[in-house]
Amino acid sequence: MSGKKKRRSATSRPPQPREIEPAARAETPEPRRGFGGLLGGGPSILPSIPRSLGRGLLAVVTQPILLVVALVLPFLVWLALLAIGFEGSAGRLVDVLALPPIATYFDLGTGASVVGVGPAFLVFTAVSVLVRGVVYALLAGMVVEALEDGRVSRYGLLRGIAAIPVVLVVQVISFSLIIAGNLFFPILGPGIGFLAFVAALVGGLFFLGFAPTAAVRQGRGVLETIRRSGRAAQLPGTRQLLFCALYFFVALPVVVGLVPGGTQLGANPSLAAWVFILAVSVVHLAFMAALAYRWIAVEPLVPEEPVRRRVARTEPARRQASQRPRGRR
Amino acid sequence: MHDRPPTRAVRLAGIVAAAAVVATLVAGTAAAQEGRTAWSQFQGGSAHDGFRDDGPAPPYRVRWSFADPSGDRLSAAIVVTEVAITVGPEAVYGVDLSDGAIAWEIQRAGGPLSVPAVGTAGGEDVLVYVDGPAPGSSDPSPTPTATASPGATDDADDEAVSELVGVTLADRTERWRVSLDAVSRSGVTIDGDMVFVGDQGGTLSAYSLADGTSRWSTTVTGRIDTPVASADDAVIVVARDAEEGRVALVAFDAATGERAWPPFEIPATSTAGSAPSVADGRVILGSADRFVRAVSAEDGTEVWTSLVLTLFSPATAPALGDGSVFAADFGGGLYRLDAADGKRMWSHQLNEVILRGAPVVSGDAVIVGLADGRLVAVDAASGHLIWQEDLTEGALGAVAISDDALIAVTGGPEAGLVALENDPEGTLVDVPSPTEFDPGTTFGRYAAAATIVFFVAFVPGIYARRRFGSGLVSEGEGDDERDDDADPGEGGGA
Repeated sequence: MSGKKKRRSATSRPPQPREIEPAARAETPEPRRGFGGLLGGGPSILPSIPRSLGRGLLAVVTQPILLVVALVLPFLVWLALLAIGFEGSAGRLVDVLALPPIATYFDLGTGASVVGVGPAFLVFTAVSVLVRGVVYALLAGMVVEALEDGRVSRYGLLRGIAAIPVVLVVQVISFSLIIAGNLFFPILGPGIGFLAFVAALVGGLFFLGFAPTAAVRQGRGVLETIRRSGRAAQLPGTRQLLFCALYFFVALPVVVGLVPGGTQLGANPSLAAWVFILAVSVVHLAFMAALAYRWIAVEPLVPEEPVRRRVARTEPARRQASQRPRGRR
Repeated sequence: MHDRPPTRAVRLAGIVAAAAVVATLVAGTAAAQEGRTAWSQFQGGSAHDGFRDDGPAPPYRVRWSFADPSGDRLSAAIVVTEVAITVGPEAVYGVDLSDGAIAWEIQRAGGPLSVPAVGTAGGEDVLVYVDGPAPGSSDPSPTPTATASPGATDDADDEAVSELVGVTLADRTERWRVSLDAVSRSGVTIDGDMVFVGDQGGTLSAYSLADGTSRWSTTVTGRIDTPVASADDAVIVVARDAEEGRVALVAFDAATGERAWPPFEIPATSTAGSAPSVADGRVILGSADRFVRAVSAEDGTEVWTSLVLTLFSPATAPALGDGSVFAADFGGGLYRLDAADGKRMWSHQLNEVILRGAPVVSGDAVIVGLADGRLVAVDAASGHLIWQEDLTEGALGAVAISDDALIAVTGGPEAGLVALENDPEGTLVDVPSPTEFDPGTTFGRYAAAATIVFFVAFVPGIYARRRFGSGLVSEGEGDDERDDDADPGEGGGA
């Protein structure tokens, strides 16, 4: 085949999920396995990270509705937080649209700040998980439609609504991951415990990051969708771990550290702070779209069953080809 | 029959008048006594209420500064008559309130700095402070004197411990000296004729103010490193067990040392928390779980809690007065709470750490020192900032209030004390807390920011879409899609 990317064409309307030709498939590389394969190195079977981010960003900034959502949501969240008595730094808003589990981390911190750690905290968390699940599912539907068709319509919203159960479960898993991390990682000591917690956050995004897009595109059951998200992430040569680590680095230390006003408490963020917060929200949405773009690329390669590493090590490409999914189209 | 007043009425009027005169004299004497020891210990008194309704009002100006002669730091000050008393590493200093000159000093062996206290015994003011241990010393009594209480150090072991020293304030002669069980950082509390002090080993000791005789001694689990509070015949300590990460509020009968009620365990995993304050039968403290708590001084039950933003420095204590609790958390939040139910009346976020400072109330202003060296005054009624001054490069500590001055302990390169007085020519400001929502400002800034970001993102995006295509429908990909309907897997290199 040519070096150009191909995708499966639509067979019926309304708009059908499309695929991106895995970038390296034409080159038939021997994907690197194990940790090195997850982290990167060697040819990737997915579009490169810069290309993914570029496509994601393009999908967001060229769709006024997505752009408006990215700009309006942080403001609505800020008003809601103030209404329930939040006193804190507007810098927290930089992770309002972050991907889970980083967003979950944001929610937990905000909840603890507003209501403390008690029964009310669980109520706050439950509400935030629910709201965020719905919002993310709708966003996922719109983002996938923007990637597939270059537009956003009610059809994208409907596909997003169908994905709500999966995204809700992703939120719950993220919440559980952070709670478990807070309970158990301190046992490892401050240094290793912190690293383990960071690894847990990155790992959460690694395994769950594809789930919303998979739910929107394939409409499978909750568990199967999450399993497939994990399998896709573990495919050799995806550089998904690198992608997730990059996102984690951008979403927490860089973004939180650079927000104008820093940790200064206030109810009236400065113009610079708002510009930064809103720009970062667009970036978060771009990362979400980049993940969707990568899922669309890797979707045909995701095996129906868990990959057996030993077999895959010997005949990776053949196995991938033989396990190409049926996929609901 | 009404030409002359009834004899009985005249007598009654005379009795009333005499009683009024006596009452006035007694009140005057009491006021004078109170005036002589206006701010006699940490946060003003044994209850640590930190409240003085006749204190100087803002704005303030610096009257004088006093740097520790040894070049180190000083403890928070107390005020007796016209002298501010502070503890330094090498001496206890009496500083003239009028000009900041050293009025007197008492040599000291060293050891942790803690707040001294002054009480009255036998008609004399007695200054009590903690001395030693000397740096690097294992001698429990590095500066034994002839006036040490007999047997006070007989049972001391080889570990370096602190000593409690009582001094007649008038002539600075040492009345007594007793050895504690361990190093003490708690500072001294005097209630009536009793002196209370805690140590790092968890021992709470009570002594006679007059002669240093031990009244009783008891232990708690953990260390006692914040000032002991005493009021209503109860002695309250905060015990911190750093190893277990537990904090407990423990109450003892002031006369006997018996436990007044079971320890009140603070449900937090960190030991960071304030010293206790007592008023109206309630013990108030801030704890690591970000709650200000009111606990019944009678039976140790929790009366109310109020959530704040951060935990509390052990150097702080809530101020109590006018039916309110004034608490300052570590993150710089100053709160006024209703003492009856803990409901928040206002908060002012100062956006600076409160590490060594504790809020005090001077008239209608709440005063607190910040870690960046600022002293701020917040209007007690509105919660608005009304005055602030940058006084030092280091952290500002606790404030003592005299009749006409505030005396704050300063950190930084020239650590010491600074005295401030009312500045008649100064100006007040009226700055609400930055956490007060201003809809107009916020909406305006947001709208401008959203417009900027939208156009900065959207306009280049349009050009980029023309160049690269949108989403998957890029020019090249679109061509492929139109030209090739084949399953991509079929063309795969696998």
